[in-house]
Amino acid sequence: MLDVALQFLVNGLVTGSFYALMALGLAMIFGLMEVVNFAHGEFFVMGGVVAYAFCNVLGVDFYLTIVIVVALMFAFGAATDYLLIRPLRGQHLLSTALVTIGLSIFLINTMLLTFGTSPQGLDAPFSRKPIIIGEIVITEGRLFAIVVGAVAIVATHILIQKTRLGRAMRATFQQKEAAALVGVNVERVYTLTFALGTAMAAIAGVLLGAVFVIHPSTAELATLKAFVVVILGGMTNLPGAVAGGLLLGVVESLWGGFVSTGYMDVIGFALVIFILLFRPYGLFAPRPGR
Amino acid sequence: MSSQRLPLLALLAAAIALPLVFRGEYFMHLMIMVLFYTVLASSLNIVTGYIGQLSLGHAAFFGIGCYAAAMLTLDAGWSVWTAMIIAGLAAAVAGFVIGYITLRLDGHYFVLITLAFAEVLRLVVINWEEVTRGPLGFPNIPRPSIVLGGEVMVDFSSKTHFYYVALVLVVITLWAKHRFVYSAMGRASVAIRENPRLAQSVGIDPFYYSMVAFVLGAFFAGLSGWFYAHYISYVGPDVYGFGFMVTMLIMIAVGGRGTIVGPVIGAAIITIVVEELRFAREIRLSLFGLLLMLSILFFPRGLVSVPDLLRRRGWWPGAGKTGTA
Amino acid sequence: MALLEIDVLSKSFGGLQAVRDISLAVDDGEIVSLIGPNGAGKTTVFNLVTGYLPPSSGRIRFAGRDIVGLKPHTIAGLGLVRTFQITNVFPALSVFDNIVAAHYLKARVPLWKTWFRDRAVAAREATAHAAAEEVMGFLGLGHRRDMTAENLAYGELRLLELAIGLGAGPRMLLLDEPAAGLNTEESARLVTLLREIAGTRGITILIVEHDMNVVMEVSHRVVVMNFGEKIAEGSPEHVRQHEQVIEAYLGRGFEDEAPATPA
Repeated sequence: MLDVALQFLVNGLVTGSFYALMALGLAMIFGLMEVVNFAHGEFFVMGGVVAYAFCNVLGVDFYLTIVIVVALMFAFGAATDYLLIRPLRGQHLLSTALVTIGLSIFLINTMLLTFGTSPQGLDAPFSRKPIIIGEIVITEGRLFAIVVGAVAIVATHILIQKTRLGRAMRATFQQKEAAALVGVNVERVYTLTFALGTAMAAIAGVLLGAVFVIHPSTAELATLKAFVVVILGGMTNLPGAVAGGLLLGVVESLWGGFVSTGYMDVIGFALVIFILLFRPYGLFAPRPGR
Repeated sequence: MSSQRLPLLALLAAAIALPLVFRGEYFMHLMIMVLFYTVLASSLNIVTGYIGQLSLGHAAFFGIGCYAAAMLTLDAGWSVWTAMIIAGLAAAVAGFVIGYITLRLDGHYFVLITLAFAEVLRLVVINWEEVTRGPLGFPNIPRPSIVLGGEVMVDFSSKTHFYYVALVLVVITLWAKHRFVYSAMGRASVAIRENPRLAQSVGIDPFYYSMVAFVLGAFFAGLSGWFYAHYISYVGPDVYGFGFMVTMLIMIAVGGRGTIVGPVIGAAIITIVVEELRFAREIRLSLFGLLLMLSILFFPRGLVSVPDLLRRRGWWPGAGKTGTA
Repeated sequence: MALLEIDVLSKSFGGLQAVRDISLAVDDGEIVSLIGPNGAGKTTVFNLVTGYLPPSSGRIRFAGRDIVGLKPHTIAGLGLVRTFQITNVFPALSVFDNIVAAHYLKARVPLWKTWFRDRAVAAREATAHAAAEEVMGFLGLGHRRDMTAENLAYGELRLLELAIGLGAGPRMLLLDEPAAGLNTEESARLVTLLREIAGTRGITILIVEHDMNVVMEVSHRVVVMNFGEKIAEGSPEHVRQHEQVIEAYLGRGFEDEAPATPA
């Protein structure tokens, strides 16, 4: 019983690290920039699709592919912000929500046309042989996904806490006018933040392709799940988003394993409703003093 | 006072005469869908256009209307017309409950909690098979009929009959909305949309009017669900899904939110564009996404603002006057 | 009896005491100014009085009624109406529609009458529109009637804010820096208007203002705050010579102290 639970826990952590990466990206775009980004799941799938093009079709080395995908998706995110989001800054949130809905419709259908409707896995250089640690079974690929996820999260943390860009970001999202006054190029910070958020989602997509499969039709649910996690984490709280992602992965895995798979997807949404009603500042943030 | 009345009346006259001139089955179907979406998009516009809240749970009220109609007529054996009233009321009650819980939250939280409610409902409908028949849904939902003195007067075998029912629904919806917009209540709602804190300072209770708009929107969404169920004769869990939500959002955004005519224009254009893009086959939806992005970027206030934009450049007669309400 | 009575009112945010034991009374028909350096807690007092923030302790009575705990719109309904420091109008509406919307309390009808109108509804609508016309004329905004508020010049925007405040039909107006950003000519005009509002219209005014010319000209009485506390009160002349006041303004008081109140 306990070893089964432990196995579900580990499986949950794998899914959870995908959620965490996606949510970290969305916490930047939605939490900090306040853009209701409905294309986030598409950014995620696009990471996998672009990786598929390089790795499987062009035969590029898997590890190099990851680097290429991150760079390309970062650029794609920057372009998206520049062309679609920037002209609408300061307008009603409906405007940006709709533009991202348009983008998501465009991206998902274009991907369905080029990639096809059948799920595909990446040619990742991992052995299929399971690694057995005590009672737990894990594959090389899954371990790799957890490690890369952790590295990406830590790197983001360092970027935000230690670098000049990170300081500019924190200043901008705390007090935009003040940041502009002390010489921060606020527009640039916005664009880079959006690009970073996009790249995060894309990394999750590549890892998913390496461990499971790439499947364009998962984009919509991925978007919704990412929103759920961002709320669990407390909107602007980046470590909270990571914790929320891992938590949702584990809870879903345990629920699916022990209770029922039917209502598995309900958990997240039910949690959101519960949290927004009783802890609107998220699960992991302290109650704000009044 | 109501600059929108004349074009609306002209449209109505044309709509009444339409089936007398064009009789094609396919054309009638298109027009029926335009009318149906006019009701649905207008109902969302009461909330999003006038109170200014982006409710992503609106499809839930449409879905409740659909399922109420299907279950009442198929499982309970009620008349289609009784089901109409109940479908509207059931959605309104759901609107009251969900609104009461969610309207206390601001902007971004509201968007997501309404979405979460709709998703939970959709997943429950899929999984609670004993009551909702799960993913299979309800096929063979009966057509309405009008019986007078024991004799069937109208049996709804022709699309024209549905057309006129849809038209009546549109007229009721737009009349109710017109009265709402050009009243103290409509002004209060717009004030809340424009500046909730300032609205409070002149004595307006934002929560109260948000509730009124939310319940009203839910009611008309429920009515449109009733119509959809009986016209299409099938409903499944997808009526709660994001597809309908996105469609109605796009309609009010492209037409012009916060206006009465906007959703009408949006419903007509989007329904027809989606049909016309059939020639493009596979790339149809990609093109649609592209068009949506362009329309939001270039006409952020919707197509109803085009005359204003042209007027400002002197390409259209009349003084340049702006404003959405 | 005073129209507005504030009794040992306090407000703290976390550990920060934004308002400390303020007591203040404003009589019917008076114009009272509340002054003090930035961050002294003046806007917080407004937010507490009008229900936008709950006080930590203290009592507030308006026209003899305890108003602590009431919602902002209820307080406005009692005739205690405030304006905001940063420009606050209904931006997408025309000037006239702004003012009509502000006459909500005059136009309000029972819910069902929105769809089933009778003569009473028409009468209320007519009253509200006439009142809006009158306020628009009084503030000299008639020539901007159909202009969208967001396109107004700054000085006119501030007049529109005043019009919105008057639209709610107040017994007492709380004005938050109405002269901020106005040029000399516009300030002079504001002084005239404020006197008329108090004199002819019989509306009591409590005003937060940094423009000392305006304060000295309109006020019957001046109350000075610093670091959340009341440090002086009296006639404009009295306050002008008050030692602590001079120190508050010229001495250490100019450093930025308390964080911005969530106004």
